Amino acid sequence: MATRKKKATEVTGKVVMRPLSLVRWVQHPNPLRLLTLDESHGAWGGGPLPDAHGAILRVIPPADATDESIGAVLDRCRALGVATTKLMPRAAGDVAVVAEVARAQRRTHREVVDALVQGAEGVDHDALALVVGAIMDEEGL
Amino acid sequence: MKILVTSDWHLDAVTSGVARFDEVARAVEHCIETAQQERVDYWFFLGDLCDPDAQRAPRCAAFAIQTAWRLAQLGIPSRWLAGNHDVIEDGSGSSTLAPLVAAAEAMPLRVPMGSTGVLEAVRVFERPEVVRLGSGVSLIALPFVPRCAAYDPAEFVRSVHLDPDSRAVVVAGHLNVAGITPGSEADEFARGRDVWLPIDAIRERWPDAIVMNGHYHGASVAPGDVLIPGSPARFTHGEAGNSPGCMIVEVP
Repeated sequence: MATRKKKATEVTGKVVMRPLSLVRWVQHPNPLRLLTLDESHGAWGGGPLPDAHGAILRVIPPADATDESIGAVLDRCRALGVATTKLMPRAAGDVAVVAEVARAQRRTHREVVDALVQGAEGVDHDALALVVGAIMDEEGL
Repeated sequence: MKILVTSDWHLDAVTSGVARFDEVARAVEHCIETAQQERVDYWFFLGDLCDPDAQRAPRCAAFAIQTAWRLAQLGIPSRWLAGNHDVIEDGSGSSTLAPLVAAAEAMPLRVPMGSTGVLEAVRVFERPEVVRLGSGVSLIALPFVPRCAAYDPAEFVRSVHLDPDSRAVVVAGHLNVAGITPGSEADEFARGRDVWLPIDAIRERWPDAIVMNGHYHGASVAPGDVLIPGSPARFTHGEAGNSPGCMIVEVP
């Protein structure tokens, strides 16, 4: 696709082209505004919202925003009379460095079942262990 | 000669669930009012009416027909180019402007044009063409076309034979312009393939030609003095800083 990138001349008022042709741009009245309430906006701290009446508002919550705080900001936006809001994913937060956790030691089926037997309440643990042990023997576990 | 230029209506566009048809229709109404106030001699549409597979495509085509007929009744001839969003890649070579072509053929209208007599009120360019605009001005139309009708724009430009009395050349296209920063037309509104406006070939043949091109949604003057009218609305958040409108060009 387009690899040749160079900013086009910004349009300001009248432009005289060669040979002496006149070019003007006429702006349309009241085009729909497209606004963004990004993660750094003061509204997330309870500050005022931008004038977004009639606009399409894209909302990007900060990484630590709770569902409740996002809902509250969206309610305030709707009360302003926006055309619609588009909720984007939370902004990416800082990367957490997590210490390597020792991999849990693998246990055998018998060890898992024995632990469950010993943790069972209201039973004779020894009797239950005998019954369950016999079953596991039959199953080759 | 004064020309109102508008482009990239994308009447089927939906932004964050909001259909943009009505807003663009109001903007087009503003263009028509401007055309009347400015007493323009021509109305140019530089492509991208809507996508052919859009649910709203029939409504968009109907709107184009209504607009062309209103302009004709106001005595303003209109010229329409197909854009990359308009073409239909089914091997037929057709576009979303086909209903306008059919309507113009079925009900040919004429508008008076100074001492040169009458002009056809509506003309659609789905293929590259050279036509006279009257009073010694030639129009070279370089629309976007489907693959089955592909052409080499530079070769076409080099092959053009103008009338001996042509004193001014206007080139109108809906192609890629080298050196312009791609906007939403290269991501959210991407469609079709790259076909480049042959600005070097154009300037080589007609250094003083007035060159205008659709496709880009932000109004600008692109490298090579290519005039970009821009869209009548902001369709994506990436276009939030655009100033939607239309363009008036006076050909000396």
